[in-house]
Amino acid sequence: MDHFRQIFLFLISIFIISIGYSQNEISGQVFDDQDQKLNGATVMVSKDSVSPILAYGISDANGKFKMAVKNESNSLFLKVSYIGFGTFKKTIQNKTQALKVKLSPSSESLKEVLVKSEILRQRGDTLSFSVAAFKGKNDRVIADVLKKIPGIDIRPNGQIFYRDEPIQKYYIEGLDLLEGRYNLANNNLSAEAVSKVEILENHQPVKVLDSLEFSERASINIKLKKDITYSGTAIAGIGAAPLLWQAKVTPMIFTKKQQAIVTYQSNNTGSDVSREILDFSINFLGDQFTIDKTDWLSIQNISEPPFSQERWLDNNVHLGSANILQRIKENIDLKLNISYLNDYQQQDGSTQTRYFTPTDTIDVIENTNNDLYVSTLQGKLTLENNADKNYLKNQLEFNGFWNAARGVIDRPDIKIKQQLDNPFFGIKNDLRLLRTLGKQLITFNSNTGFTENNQDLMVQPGQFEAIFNDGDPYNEIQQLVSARKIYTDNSAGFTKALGKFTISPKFGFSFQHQQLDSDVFLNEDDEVLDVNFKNRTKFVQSSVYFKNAFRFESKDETWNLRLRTPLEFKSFHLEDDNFEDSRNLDRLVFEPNFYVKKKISAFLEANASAGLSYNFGEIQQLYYGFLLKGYRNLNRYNAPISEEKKQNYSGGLRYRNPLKQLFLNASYSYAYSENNLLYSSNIGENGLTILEAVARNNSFDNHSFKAGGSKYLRKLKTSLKLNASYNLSKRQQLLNNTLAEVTTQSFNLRGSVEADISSWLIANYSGNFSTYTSGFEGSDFQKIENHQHIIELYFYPKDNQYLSLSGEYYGNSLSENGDNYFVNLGYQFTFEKPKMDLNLSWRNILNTDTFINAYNNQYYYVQSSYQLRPSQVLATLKFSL
Amino acid sequence: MRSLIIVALLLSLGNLQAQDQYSYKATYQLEFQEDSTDENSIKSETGVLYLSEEQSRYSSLGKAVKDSLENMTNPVNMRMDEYNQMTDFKYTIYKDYQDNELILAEKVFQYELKYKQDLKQIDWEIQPENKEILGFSVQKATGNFAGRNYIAWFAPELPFSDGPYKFSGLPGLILEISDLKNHYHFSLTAFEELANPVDKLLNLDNYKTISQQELDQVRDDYDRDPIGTMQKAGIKFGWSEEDEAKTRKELSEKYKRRNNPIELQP
Repeated sequence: MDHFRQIFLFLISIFIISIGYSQNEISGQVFDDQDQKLNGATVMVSKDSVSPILAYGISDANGKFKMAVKNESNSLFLKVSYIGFGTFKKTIQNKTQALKVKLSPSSESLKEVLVKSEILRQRGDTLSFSVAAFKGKNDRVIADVLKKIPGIDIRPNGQIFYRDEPIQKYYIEGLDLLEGRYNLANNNLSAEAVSKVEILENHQPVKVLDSLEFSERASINIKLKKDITYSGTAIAGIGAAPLLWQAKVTPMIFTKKQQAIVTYQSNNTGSDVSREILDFSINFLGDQFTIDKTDWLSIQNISEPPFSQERWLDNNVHLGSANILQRIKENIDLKLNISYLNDYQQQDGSTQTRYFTPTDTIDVIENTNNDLYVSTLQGKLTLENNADKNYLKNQLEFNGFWNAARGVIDRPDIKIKQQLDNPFFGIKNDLRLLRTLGKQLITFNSNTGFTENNQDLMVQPGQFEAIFNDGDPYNEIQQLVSARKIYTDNSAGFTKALGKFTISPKFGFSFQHQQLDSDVFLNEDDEVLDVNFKNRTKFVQSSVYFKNAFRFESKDETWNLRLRTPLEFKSFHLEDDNFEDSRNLDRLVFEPNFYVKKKISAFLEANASAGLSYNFGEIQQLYYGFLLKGYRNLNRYNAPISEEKKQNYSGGLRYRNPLKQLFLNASYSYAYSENNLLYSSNIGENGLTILEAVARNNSFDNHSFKAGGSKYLRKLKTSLKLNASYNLSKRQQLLNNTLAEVTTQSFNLRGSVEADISSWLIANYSGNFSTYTSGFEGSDFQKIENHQHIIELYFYPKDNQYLSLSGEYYGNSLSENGDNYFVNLGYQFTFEKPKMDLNLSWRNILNTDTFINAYNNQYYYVQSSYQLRPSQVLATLKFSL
Repeated sequence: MRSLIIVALLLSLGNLQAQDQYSYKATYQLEFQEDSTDENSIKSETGVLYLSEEQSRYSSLGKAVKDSLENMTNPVNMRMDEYNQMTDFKYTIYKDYQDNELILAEKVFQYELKYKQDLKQIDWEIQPENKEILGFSVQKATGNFAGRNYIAWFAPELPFSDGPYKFSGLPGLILEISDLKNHYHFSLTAFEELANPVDKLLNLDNYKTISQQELDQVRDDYDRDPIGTMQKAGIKFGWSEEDEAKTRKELSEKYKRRNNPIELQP
């Protein structure tokens, strides 16, 4: 019934309209003065020249237009306009008609307007954000505010990203106090103290480079409210059982010319204190030479469990760090960053190792109990002059370690004590100079360093009786090692862009001198005089290099090529006063590396690479006399300087379809290397191993396949991931004087499901399955399967609360009691007043006491059990100073 | 054969030069409410519309500057007069009056995507009201587009049947347009003839053509989970287990606030 009424009304209304207005159609065509049809001309009619528009049309590609006019007026006013032409105006009759309009060119320009002069941003300009505008009620430190600023992301490890690129510098009041270790300020500077956050886009921190090198990266500057600011945060935590503590206090002070941040942290909860002093800085200097700690000797260790160290690390750590900056003059800063760490760790566990040789199998059972003492001092003194015309940065860095360890091995028949002192000292100076020479920029780098090791391992009772004591038991063996290294690396270079290509040649030379002295003593002062147990080795490496890189990118970004062509002359000289022998090796090496990437279609991409490289012996594989590396390992390399020539090839395909949310990738790589030295292991009773190098050409090859995919199911808000990899390698090895070709195969399958079940619940599952097989010439001797399943649930009942629950399973096919189950619980509550975070965690709820693991290597497998921390509850409170 | 290639090359060069330029520029201020439930979530951005006789190009100012930067032959030595702004709108809309077609092109993360539509999206109704904006006499028109009702004010004096975003089809440039709820409000801040006309730089060959629905979906997927999208593309982060869920949660809160797109229905 309703329908009828509607239709009826509709018909009536049409009738009324047709009576009320006569409808006329005005059509036509628009041409320019050359009789070319004009497309896009606007055509309007109105009652007269001042009244509103009644109808309009836009001319099409043929210049045609059409308008329906519903008006009773006798005449109409027609206007036709087109850019660059005078407006056509004419009074016409109100009737259906076809018109021909011809426009004549006009030089009259359109009226211009500008409301207010817009502030146009200059390159390198600053975006400034008022902290008050972004600060929420739960925000405490500046990091909480920073992550709300558009474009800024803070990754879980603390690294700051701006538009998906890591930031370059983190300044406080324009000064770079912390270099890359900005976590310390970001996580501890109270948001109350900050007035503004400035983002310096395309910031070039080196002023000389400002007009020469375009920087894609952004930097952040923190502006404080007061000229002199004191700030900081503190954390206090307590737990059981046994008694647990966690403490952290980080005060700081900022003035115009001076800044300082100090931190002290301590815990026995297994927590990693080094996280706050992670370094995110981008290093420009060469890393060919380092002053990183190297160890010659060690005590027998147990492999660490694969999960968070808070559940297994039995520690007692103290960390102090001070960072001070002084602005000496305009553009010149002097900085001191210094930190001291002291830790005492205990490890308990047992291992069962089975060695396979072509003729025999050997079993070793060890109960291990280790005490580790760590004491480390690290420091950096930096002088930076960042002026308009030149740049200088000189950094003096030192590392000092005073580490020691004590270990007890309990075997069914015997108890073996190990005592290790492994101090290390290193110092280096890195200099970087930039100077403009005409329009060219010259870079100069000079790195020089020195390191020293004096290590000492004592084993009671002495092992390798057959070698050291005619097969009779003896009380004690002591290995002393002293190693020193001095190096210098200097280079000069420049960068030049030639159209689409960029070349950056670098020319330089390096020199390194190493000295290794070692001696063995039995039963305290009884020196082993046999030359085979002494080293007096001098090793000198020098090199002159010319490195060049070409880069090419096609305009449409479908091709991307890179070719590196480093050329280097290397010279090695080894001298041993003890053996009265010397060895020399001179090589001119060319190590080209080629990479190509091609975009095949919008979602498909292929890449390939090929490279050739050489590796030459380091002093760690160059000593003639035996060294007792561990209580049951005796090594020597009484052979020529090792030379390895390695070829690498790889290819891959990637398919990424964002429409279907399907992402697939597959790759294959192959490596082949030739070596002039073969390694020989002699495994005796109780796993006593003698490793030697033998001059004999041999080869190694490795095939590796990888494939993976992920898919997001929009309706279920769930993403699925699956990855698989397979690795096959072959190498030759002398095992108990028999040449064996050792084949190893490994297969790994990983899958995960992540589901956003609701706004207050996220659930994740991940699983991992892997197998590892090794064998000699086709006969496999052991296959180990490992399983791992993890389920995590995250609840967000309220904005200021958060609860997490996780369950884990680890298992292997080898161990009899190899099933490990874990449950953990975490809860966080944020108080508004006073501003505090309360964190509660209950780890290892099932109180699983050991973690049982199994893994294998080329010719042995290990089953280990590691003593875990018991079920523990910890409460921590975090607040601002 | 060789001469043929040369001829072909010359022809293509000629084509390049013949490609004309945008000689007018209209600048708009856009105010929009990001969260439809929160009146305080109003944000503001600048949009630029470049105009020529046959075509136009609209984008946010930040996007326009980024494009011109990327297309410079030697970006190192050149200084630009405008600098990159933050933008919430990363698309560019090309309108072609000849083909009666509009193209929206957008790079979502690393995927270059576009879709085509008819230029005529709105049936405008001319209203009798008049007023003046910045010295231009403008007339009112109303129309419905993608789930919102709009009031537009256009200037017959400026003979461009164009406007900000996808709005076009009136006999004169749209100087002001907003929906009835005032969630999206564009107003002209400048109109000028360019002393140095801007090249068209229309090279969308690499952009994959998909449907509008698909593009909206891809953009939404990225906004919802940018970290996941990057991970799937092979970018790795140093995650620590516990913070991951926390970070994701924060991002999803951010995403929930962006619930008021200009087009409510396709």
